[in-house]
Amino acid sequence: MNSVLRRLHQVEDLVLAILLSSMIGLAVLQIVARNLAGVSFTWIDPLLRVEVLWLGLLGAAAATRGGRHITIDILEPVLKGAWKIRLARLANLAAAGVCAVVAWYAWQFVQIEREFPTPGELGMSTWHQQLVIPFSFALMSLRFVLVSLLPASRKAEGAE
Amino acid sequence: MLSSIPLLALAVAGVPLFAIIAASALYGYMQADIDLSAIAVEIYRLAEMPVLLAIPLFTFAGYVLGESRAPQRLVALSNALLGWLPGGLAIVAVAVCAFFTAFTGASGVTIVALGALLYPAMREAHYPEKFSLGLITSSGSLGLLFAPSLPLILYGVVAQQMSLSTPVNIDDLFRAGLLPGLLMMLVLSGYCVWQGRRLPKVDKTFSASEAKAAVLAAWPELPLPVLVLGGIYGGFLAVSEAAAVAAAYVLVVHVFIKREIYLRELPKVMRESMTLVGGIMVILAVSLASTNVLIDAEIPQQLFAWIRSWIDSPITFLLALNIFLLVLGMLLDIFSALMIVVPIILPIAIGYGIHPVHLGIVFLANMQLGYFTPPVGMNLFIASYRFNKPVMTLYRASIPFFLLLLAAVLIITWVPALSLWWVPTP
Repeated sequence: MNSVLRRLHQVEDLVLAILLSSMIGLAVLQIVARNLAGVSFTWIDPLLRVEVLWLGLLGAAAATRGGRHITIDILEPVLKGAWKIRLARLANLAAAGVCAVVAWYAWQFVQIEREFPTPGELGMSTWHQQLVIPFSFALMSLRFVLVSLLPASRKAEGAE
Repeated sequence: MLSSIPLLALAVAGVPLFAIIAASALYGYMQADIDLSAIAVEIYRLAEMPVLLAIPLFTFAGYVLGESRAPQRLVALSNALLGWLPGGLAIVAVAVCAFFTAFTGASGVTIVALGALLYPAMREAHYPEKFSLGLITSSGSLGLLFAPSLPLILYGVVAQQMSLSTPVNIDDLFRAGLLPGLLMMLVLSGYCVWQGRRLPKVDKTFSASEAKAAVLAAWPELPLPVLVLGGIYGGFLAVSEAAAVAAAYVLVVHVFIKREIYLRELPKVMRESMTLVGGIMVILAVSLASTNVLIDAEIPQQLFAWIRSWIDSPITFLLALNIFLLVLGMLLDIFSALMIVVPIILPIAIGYGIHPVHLGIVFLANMQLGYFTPPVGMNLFIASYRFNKPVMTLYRASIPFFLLLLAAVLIITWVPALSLWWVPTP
């Protein structure tokens, strides 16, 4: 189980690195081509915009894995021991629920788009680009469930 | 709607903010009989804003700078140029922190990367412990108002989504932040000089050869502001393009030429920076949805009418806004505050005749204070962790700095010309 997870995390890191590197490369290529050769590749800008969406949502999924989402930490420092862990489990379950709802309705949305495809600027239908929405939210939901079920993490125990 | 009590309780219980905002948007859809899959349409709008490209690219560039030896070189450079002044080393701290924060986006990187250099140096030069801690803690968010800081860009993005009658241009925000940012630096530097008088005299004089050596040593960083700021202000590069140039530049110089970050560490740096970006982008995505719900329900108008029945003059409104934003800054980090609160208060402020660009500067200046306002200012905790001091010590140490910068914030609030000097008078 753990080695599967580790593999998954490596793949995830790799995807993020590829997305980011290609964004840097393509954006610079566009600037150089425009300023030196006076040409501009029409496919680069729409591709970059889709990559921003993918990178943002997959980055959010990665943030879920390390508990790195932005929260309001008012109660957390006040509570101690078992109550702290219980509250954290509850919070993670609630987040999992919301993510599951978003993932489900985003999936419905992609289904509708698939039935009546809109041609995108990149020569594929937009629903391909939108798949990342249900995917990333489903992944976040799973991760929140996992965190809330797993035995208390070292972070929660070692905080005191 | 946002104030609905169950959601607030969940937020306090530690549910990530993006989930809270998503839930509030979904709830709003249900109230208005809108199909819930509309939330995906809003999230997809992340792919329709070209300027968003700047967020991951600048963040990555900032992370690489933080991991490299850039902080050491910048401190050496500023010390060679400013170190001979009374309170010189403290002014060095102010200048370097401001520059570094502008490029790294005020994510706490400044204190972590620069604190370890500046704090021991200041202690060695006999600056009091309290002063040194307070200065570094409060300088950790100092460059927020300078281009190309992430919060400035994000304010522009949020404001642009609201189709205002006065358009908010990110280039305008970059220009508007300049004088208010300098004012804050000036106030802190003045305090440093005043503190410096009481210190044992350092026999450091300005040395042209030391300055030259430091300038040459800082070659990896010096072209960056020229490329980025020159590109943007000179009209050669759009903001997102300047970000691409910055990211490519640090990648080539700091990773490939200077090799201060090994290639095999690069995926980790990328992952680290992109989790921060993901955390911000997912909040932005769902707050696009919740903002639309707010606007459709005419919440800002209702709030405006209600506030109007209490407050008449724009001046009073601004004072109330300052208090509100200070409290907000204690509770929320700058990114979430921008995305959640700006859509509500921007229409209200415009109702009072406040320029949206000025409001942005006021908003960010207040939030900058929030970074080190007790009890939950993020920089207080980062500094406490970094310098291994109790948070209470840092609370006390930052009080004089808080008061000084508060005065600067009030001036920035009530003198719109500081932010709007470049706007042609009609």
